[in-house]
Amino acid sequence: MPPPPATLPDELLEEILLRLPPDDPGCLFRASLVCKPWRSRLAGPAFTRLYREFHGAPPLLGFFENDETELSMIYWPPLPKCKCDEYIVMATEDGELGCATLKESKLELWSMEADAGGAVKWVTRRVVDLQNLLPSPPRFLVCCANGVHVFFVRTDLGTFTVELNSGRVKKVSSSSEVIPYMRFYTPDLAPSTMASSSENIETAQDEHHDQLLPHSTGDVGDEKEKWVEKGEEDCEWEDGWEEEAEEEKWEWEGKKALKELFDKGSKAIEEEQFVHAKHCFHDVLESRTLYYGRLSPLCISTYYKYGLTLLYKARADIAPYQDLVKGDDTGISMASGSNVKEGDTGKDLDLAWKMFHIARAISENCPWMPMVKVDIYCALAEVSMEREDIDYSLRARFKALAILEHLVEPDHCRIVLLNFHIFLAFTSASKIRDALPYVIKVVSLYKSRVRKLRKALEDLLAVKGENAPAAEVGSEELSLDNEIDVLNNILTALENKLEDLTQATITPVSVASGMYNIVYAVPRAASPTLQIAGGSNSVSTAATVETQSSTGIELETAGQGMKQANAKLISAEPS
Amino acid sequence: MATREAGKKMIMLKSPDGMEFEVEEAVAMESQTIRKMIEDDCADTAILIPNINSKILSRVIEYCNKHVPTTGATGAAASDTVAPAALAEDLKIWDAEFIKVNRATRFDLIQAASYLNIKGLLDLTSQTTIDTISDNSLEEIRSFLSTKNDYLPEEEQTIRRENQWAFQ
Repeated sequence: MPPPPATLPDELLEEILLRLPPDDPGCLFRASLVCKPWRSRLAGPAFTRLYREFHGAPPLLGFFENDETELSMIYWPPLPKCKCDEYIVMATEDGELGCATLKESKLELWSMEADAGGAVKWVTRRVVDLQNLLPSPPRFLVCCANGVHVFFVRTDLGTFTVELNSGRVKKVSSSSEVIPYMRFYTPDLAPSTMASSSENIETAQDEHHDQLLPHSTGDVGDEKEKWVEKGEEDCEWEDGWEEEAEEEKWEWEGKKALKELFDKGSKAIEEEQFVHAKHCFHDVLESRTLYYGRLSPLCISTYYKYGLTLLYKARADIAPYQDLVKGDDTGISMASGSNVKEGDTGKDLDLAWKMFHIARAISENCPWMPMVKVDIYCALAEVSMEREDIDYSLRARFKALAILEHLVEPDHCRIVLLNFHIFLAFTSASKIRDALPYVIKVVSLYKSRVRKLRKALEDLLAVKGENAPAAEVGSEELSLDNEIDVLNNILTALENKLEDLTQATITPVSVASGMYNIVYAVPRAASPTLQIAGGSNSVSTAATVETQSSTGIELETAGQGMKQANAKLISAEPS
Repeated sequence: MATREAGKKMIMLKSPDGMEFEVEEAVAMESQTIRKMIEDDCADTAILIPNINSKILSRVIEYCNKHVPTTGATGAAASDTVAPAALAEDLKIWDAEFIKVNRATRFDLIQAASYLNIKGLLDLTSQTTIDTISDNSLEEIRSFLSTKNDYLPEEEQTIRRENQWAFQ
């Protein structure tokens, strides 16, 4: 009789270990303490896969109790009590059990952590403010696609996906009944691109941990990329500490004062008192960069607004016939047209350019504010146009367009505007052939947009007519009117431009015959549609005027040309 | 080729130590490995079962005899008229008695069940072993499986601390 085997062969040991009961996860952990080979075997992907296959459906690990809103776990500590209504369970980046909840507009991610003493507790991993990401306040979390960190968030405007890692936001449905299709995201299943993105998550997390240290003030000179990484979630951490730290109170006062000054500056822009606005934003920027660091995302809006102010000021200075500049405090408007100011104007533009560039650099590392990025690129394009750097202007517009196409409907006003500006830039650069597709695009987008807006306006008026005959105009109505105005302005400018263009293309004989044909043929094809669009345009304007007069509100006619209309639109964007 | 007449087809199984066992084909086909051989017409003469000594092989055949489906009306199954539930209960008790063997025999049975691919026997032997593992302390598991603890004390301490919930 052969001697009994000292140990079982490996494959038979595995056969046995497969039978460890899955509803008692502790068994697997205890068995892994037998010896290191057991541990590496039990933790290995081959065994995990076999184990899943062997036992089929995963065991019940825990459950939510409806009335307690508390995750009851077998073997795990209970969730911290909190005022939140709902949790959703999810996997964290490293595959641990986590959960997410919505507290006002902030998305909080929780996971478990063992401290040095061995006690396990729930800790906040990350807080993301959704307010700036979403076009409407978030109402509740619908669900989460595990592993990829995409949250389905319900708002009044529909259900949006929010990709936490890229910050991309997309409207996916108008219904709240969304059930995402997903599968377990395990490393062995992940395609290589996913794997690399999960690496990014890890590095981002490491940096994140670094920055949890209370940061020093006055890091003005520190321009290291690392500081750019200082994300909004960190700021939320600070907010969370407010009650604890005494000094935070003082800081809060300071923040409030800066906010007031910032608002004052914004108001000054609206009133077109650009010099005053410039001073306001300059001061705010100085304080904020000193406090948060020069490349902090918290300074981004200030950079942007300061840049805008400089740009508007420069424009106002360039246009001597600008009779808009009224009652400027410093009286600079009187001298603005003169050549003496030309040097200043150039300086303002240079500074604006610089401000936008810093804002852009910060925004590159802040994926959670895509709209801000679009604004910055648009602003950069504007400045570049003023500085006659058309190539750069085009580049910036294309970038903005690329981002925007992910965010809004294809016929959104901003997209129409962007396409129109690209067209303008191309014509300025005399690249007429490149410009033409954009004219066609603008016209078609314009048509679909105006149709939609008019319908919305009619619907609104129908509702209003029943409910409130009094002279009361809702803000939605006004904004719809404004948008139609802006679009009409584009069209007028477009018509003028097209006329010039056709003239320009017909007269010079030097144009190569092939190109001549294309250029000649296309505007011809485009102009009839323009005529139609123009017709509907005048109708809509008439309708608008009528509604306005019937409601007794003076229609704000934006007859100052494209630049003003555009400026208004940009400044209307929330910072 | 399986004949279902009164004269049942017999299969000869040979252990490496020279012993020969004549079993009914239905009993032998409890083993998926042997079934495959029969179906592939490799069972004209005796089938040599390597690695399994006569002592273990006789026990395996004993198990198969007991577990062969009663619909085949084999001679080994004592009572054909017993209700299925009672029969299953009976089998369970029989299994419990059957597996009361020493450690070395059990390991041999696991290996045999694995090689011969007899699912019921593999389940029985493995489950009994895993029950031993679940119920006993780490030290007992280690001695039972002749495994050496290669953790440093502090390493073991760390794992225990990180997964405290599993050791409460």
